[in-house]
Amino acid sequence: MFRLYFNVFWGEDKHYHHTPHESPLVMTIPLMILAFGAIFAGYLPFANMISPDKMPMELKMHWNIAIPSVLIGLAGIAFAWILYKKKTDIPDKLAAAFGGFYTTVYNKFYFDEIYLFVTKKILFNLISRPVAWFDRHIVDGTMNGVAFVITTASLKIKGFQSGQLQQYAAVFVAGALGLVLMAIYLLG
Amino acid sequence: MNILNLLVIIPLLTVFGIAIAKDMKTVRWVSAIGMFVQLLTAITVMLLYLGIRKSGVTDEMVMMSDHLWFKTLNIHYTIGVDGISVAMILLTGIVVFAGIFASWEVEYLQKEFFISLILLATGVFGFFISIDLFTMFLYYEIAVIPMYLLIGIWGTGPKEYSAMKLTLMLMGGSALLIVALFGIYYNTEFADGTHSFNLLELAKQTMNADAQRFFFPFAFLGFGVLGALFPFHTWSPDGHASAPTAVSMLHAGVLMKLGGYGIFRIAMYLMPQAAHEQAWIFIILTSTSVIYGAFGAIWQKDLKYINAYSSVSHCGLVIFGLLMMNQTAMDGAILQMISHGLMTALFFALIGMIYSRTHTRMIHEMGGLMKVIPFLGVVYMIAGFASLGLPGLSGFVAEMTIFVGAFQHADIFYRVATIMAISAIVVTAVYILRVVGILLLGPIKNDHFLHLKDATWYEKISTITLLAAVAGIGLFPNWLYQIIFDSLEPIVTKLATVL
Amino acid sequence: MKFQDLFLIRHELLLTLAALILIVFELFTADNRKKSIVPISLFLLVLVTAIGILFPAKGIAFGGMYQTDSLRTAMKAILDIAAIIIFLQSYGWISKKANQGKTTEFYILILSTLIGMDFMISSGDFLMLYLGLELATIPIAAMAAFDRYKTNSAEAGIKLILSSALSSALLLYGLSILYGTTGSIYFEEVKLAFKPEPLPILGLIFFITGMGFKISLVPFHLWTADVYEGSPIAVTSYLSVVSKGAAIFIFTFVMYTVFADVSKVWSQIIVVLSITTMTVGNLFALRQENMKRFLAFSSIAQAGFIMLGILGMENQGMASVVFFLLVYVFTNLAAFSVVAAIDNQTGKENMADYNGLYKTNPKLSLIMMLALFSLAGIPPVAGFFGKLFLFSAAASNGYYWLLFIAVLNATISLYYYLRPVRAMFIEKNDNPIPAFKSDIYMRIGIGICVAGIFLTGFISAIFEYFISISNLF
Repeated sequence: MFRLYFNVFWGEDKHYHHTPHESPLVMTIPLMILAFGAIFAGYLPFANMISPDKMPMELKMHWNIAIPSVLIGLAGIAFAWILYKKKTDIPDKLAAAFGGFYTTVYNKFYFDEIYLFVTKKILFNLISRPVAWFDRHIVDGTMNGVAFVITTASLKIKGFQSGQLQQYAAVFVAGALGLVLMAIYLLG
Repeated sequence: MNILNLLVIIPLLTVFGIAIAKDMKTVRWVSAIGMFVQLLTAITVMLLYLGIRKSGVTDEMVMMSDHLWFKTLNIHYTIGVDGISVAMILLTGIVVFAGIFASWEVEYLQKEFFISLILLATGVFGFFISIDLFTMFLYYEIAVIPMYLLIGIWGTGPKEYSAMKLTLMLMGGSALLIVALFGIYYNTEFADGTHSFNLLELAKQTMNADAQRFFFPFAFLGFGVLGALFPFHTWSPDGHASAPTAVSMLHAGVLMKLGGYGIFRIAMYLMPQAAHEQAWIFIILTSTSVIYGAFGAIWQKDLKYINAYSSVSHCGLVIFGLLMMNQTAMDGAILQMISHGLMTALFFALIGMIYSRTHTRMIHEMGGLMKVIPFLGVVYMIAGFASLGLPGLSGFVAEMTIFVGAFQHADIFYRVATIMAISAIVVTAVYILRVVGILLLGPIKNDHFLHLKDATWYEKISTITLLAAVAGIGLFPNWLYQIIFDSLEPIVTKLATVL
Repeated sequence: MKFQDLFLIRHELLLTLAALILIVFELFTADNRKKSIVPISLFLLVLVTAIGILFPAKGIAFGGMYQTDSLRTAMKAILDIAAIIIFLQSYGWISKKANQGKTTEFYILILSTLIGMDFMISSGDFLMLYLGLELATIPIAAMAAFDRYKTNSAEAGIKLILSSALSSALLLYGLSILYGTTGSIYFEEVKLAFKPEPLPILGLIFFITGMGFKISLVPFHLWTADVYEGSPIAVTSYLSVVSKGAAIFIFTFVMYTVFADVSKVWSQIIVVLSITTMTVGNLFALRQENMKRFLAFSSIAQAGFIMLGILGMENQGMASVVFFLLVYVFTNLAAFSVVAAIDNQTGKENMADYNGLYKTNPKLSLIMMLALFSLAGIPPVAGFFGKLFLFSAAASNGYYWLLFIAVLNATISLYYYLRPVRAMFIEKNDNPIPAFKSDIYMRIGIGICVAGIFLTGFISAIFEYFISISNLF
C-alpha cells in the first residue's frame, strides 16, 4: 500500500500535461469525512449497538496478536519508505532476484489466461464443436439414414413391378405356395 | 355451456372470420382481436379456477363436462381443468397473442398463414382441456400437422427438408403414442369389465404391471419426441431455424411443453410402477439432453440454431425434473415449462424482429445493435438473463426448484445426474452472454445497420407482453406455485404409493 | 323358385332392370340425345340405392345360397353410394368426343359388375360367391380397356383379365378342395365339417389367395399398379373402392363364419400378409410420380391396414372394417375426383404437373389435401377415426407389435401423402394448371365426398350403427 503512496506522492517529479492541482472542496470534504471516520470508527462501541441478545459482546484485547501485527504493519511502511521514497534501484534488483516467481505474481498467477484457455480451447473446441458435429452428422445422420434406408429399399424392390404378366403370375403362385408352407408350419 | 368450450370455439370462429375476410388488414385485425378475446378467456378461466379452489373444492379436475361420443369404445368428449392445465392454457394464450403481433408483417398468403396458426393453437387448447385420452390424442395430432404447411410455405432456408423432417418425426412420436394409448385402454381392468379412455377413471385403477413395463417406453418416448428428448431432438434445430417467427414461438414455447405435459399426465400418472422402474434409463437421456443442448448451443453461429439448442436443453430440464418424481422437482418442472415457454417465445420473437431488419441471422455479421435498436437490445438482454437463470426472472425460480427437488434423492446415480444438469447452467451462461456480447455490444459491423428502425408498436406489444409475464413469474412466483402444487398432489401421491 | 326368393333379391333385380332400361334406351334414342343417358342412369342408380336403404331386405333365399341382413344391406348401400359418386365423377370423361358411341355401355357395364358384387356380398355358399365374383370381374376387365385406342388401357384390360383368370382358377381349386373335404359348399355346413387338417387348410389358403388377389394383398398385388394406371380414372376409382371393398367384406365375413374355428391359423397368415402389404405398398408408393399409380400403391397399403381390423375378430373387427370402407369410399373417391378433374381438363397425370396448383385452383388443392390427410389418418377428418378404430380392433386382441409396425408404416405413408401437398402448396411453378371449373356433376360428387370425409368421423352414430349390425358372430 505504501509503495503506492510513496510512488504517487513522493518519488521524483514527472512531467505532466496538466499541472496537477489540489481538488476542489467538493471532492476533498467527503474525503475528509471519510478519513475522520476511518481513523475514529474503531472507537465506536459496536459491541453495545450490535448484539443479538442485548448483552454487549465481550471482546478481550489479545495483546499477543495486536502488538506483533501493528509492528509488522509499521515494518512494511518502513520497508516501502526505503524502497520507494526516493528513486532507487533496489526494487528492480529485488525483482531480478526473484525472477520467475516475480513474473508469475505480476501476471496474477496467469489465472485469466487459464480461464480463457479452458473456455476457448476446451469448452468450445474440445467439447462444443464435437457436440455440434455429432448432432448434425451422427444423430441427424441417423434420422436421415433411416430415410435413406427406406428409399433404398424402395429402389431395390422396384424390379418386382416389372410390367411382365408372366412374372406377375409366377410371383402370385409363389406367394400362394409360400402361404401353404407357412400354414403347414403353423399346423405342425 | 362450459366456459372451457369457448377455448376451442373462439379460435374456430376466428378462423371462420379470417376465411371470409376480404383484405390483409382485416385478416390481421380479426386474428388479433380473436386471440385477444382468447387471452381474456384464458385469464377468466384462471380466475374462475382460483375462485373455485378458494371456495374449498378439492376435486382433482374442476369445470368438467362430459358427452358420450362413441359408446362402443367408451370414448367421451370430456373436458376439465386443474391448476396445471389452467397455467398451460394461460401460457398458450399469451404466446399465441404475442405470436399474432410478431407475424404482423407476413405478406404471402396471409389468410392461410393465420388460419393455419390459429388452427394449430386450437389443437393445443383442446389438448389442455381434454380429460379423455382419445380426444386428447385427437387434439394432439391437430396441433402437429399444420406445422408442415407453416414451415414449408412460409419458412426460410431448407424449409422443405426441415418441414418434412419435423412432421415425420413428430408423427413418428404420435405413432408410438397410439400404441401406448390402446395399450393403456385395453390393459386397465375395471370392476365391471369395461374399458375407458377417461384419464381420471384410469388413474383410479392400477394397470397390469407387465403391460405397464411394455407400454411405458412407448408413451414416454412418444411424448419425449415432442419434448426434444435426446436423441429424438434433431427435428428441433432445423425445424425452429426454418420456421417463420410466430411458428417458432408457438412451437418452442407451447408445443414442446405438450411433451412434458403428456409425460406426467399420462405416462407417469397411469403407469407409475413402470415409471419408477425405468426412470433411470430416461434420466440418463434427459441429463444428456440438458448438457448436450447447452454445449451444442455454444458452437452455433446462427441465432435461431442457438435458441433451438437452448430449447432442447431447457426442455430436457423439464423432463429431468419430472423424472425425479417428487413434489418439489415436479413443481419446478412445470414452472420451467411455463417459464421457458414464455422465454423462448420472447427470444424467437426478438430474433424474428432482428432478422427482418438485418436480413441475417449469423451473429458474427452483426454487432453493436444495442446502439442502433436499443429497445429490442434491452429486451433481448433481459430475455438472455431469464434464460441463464438470473434471480428476479422466471428462469431462476423454475431451475432452482427443480434442482432442490432433484437433490432430495440421496443415491449417487441421482446426484451425479443432478450435478451434470446443474453444470449446464454455467454452459448456458456462456452461450447466452456470448451471443449478447457479440450481437448487442461491440462495434457495428455493417454500415447498413446504422439506419435500422427500432421496434414498432405491434412488436412492442408482442415483446412486452411476454417480458411482463417472465418478470411477473420471476418476482411473484408463489401464486403460480400454489396452483401447480395443489394439482400435482394426486400424481405425486400415486407415484409415491407404488414405491 | 318362390316369389319370396325373388322379392328378397330385389336389389340385384332392380339393378338388372336399370341396366335393361339403359339398353332399351340406348337402342331407341337418336344420336344427338345420347347425352341424356347420363342423368337417366344416375337417376336410376339413386332410385335403386334409395329403395335398398329404405326397404332393406332380410332373409335367406334359394335354399341358403343367398343371404341378406342389415349388415349386407349396409355394405351394398356403401357400394351403391360409391357407384353414384363414380357416375357423377365420370361425367366429364364420358361426355368427351372419344367416348361418343359407347356412353351407355359404360353405365351398363358398371351396373353389371355392381350386380355381381352384390351377389357376392350376399352369398350364403361358395358357389354364389364365385358366381358373383366372376360376374363382377368380366365387365370390369372390359371397362379397364374402355379407352380402346390407348395402349395403356388395352394393356390394363388384358392384364386384369388374365390375372383374374389365374386367381379365379386358384380360388376355384381351393373351393373344390373345401367341397371335397367337407362335403358341402354352404357356409354353415362347411363350418361344421371343417377340420384343421392339411388338405382343408390348403383349400383355405387358396381361398385366401384368390380373395387376396381382389383385395390387392402382397404378393398378389402386382396387377394393381399397371391396371390402375392404364384404365380410365372412373374405372380405377371403381376398382380401388368398390371391387376392393366388396372383396374385403365377403372375405372378412367368410373368415368369421366359416373358418372361425381355425382362427389361430389364418390370423397368423393375415398378420404376415398385413405386414408385407403395408410395407411393400408404402415402399413402392414413395417413388411414384404418376398420380394414378401413386393412388394405386396407396390403396395397396390401405388394404394392409384393413387387415389389422380383420384381426379384431367378430363384432368390433367387422364394424371397424365396414366403417373404414365407408370412409375409404369418400376419401379415395375425393382424391380420384380431383385427379379426374385435372385429367379431363388438361390430360396431365403427374405430380410434377400439380406444382403450384394452390395458386390457380385453391378449392381443388384443399380437397386433395383433405383427402390425403384422411388417407394418412390425420384428424379431424374421418380417416383418422377409421384408422384408429382398425387399430383398436387389432389392439383388442393383443396384437401390439403388429400395431407398432402398422403405426410406423402410417408414419412412412405420411411422407408420400405429403408429397402432392408439397407440390400443390409449396413448390413454385411458372405455368401451373390454369384455373378451371368442373361440370356440375363433378362438383356434386366432390361435395358428397367432402361432406362424407368430414362428417363420417364425428357423427358417432354411423360407427355405432355398424357395431350394432355386425353383431352376428
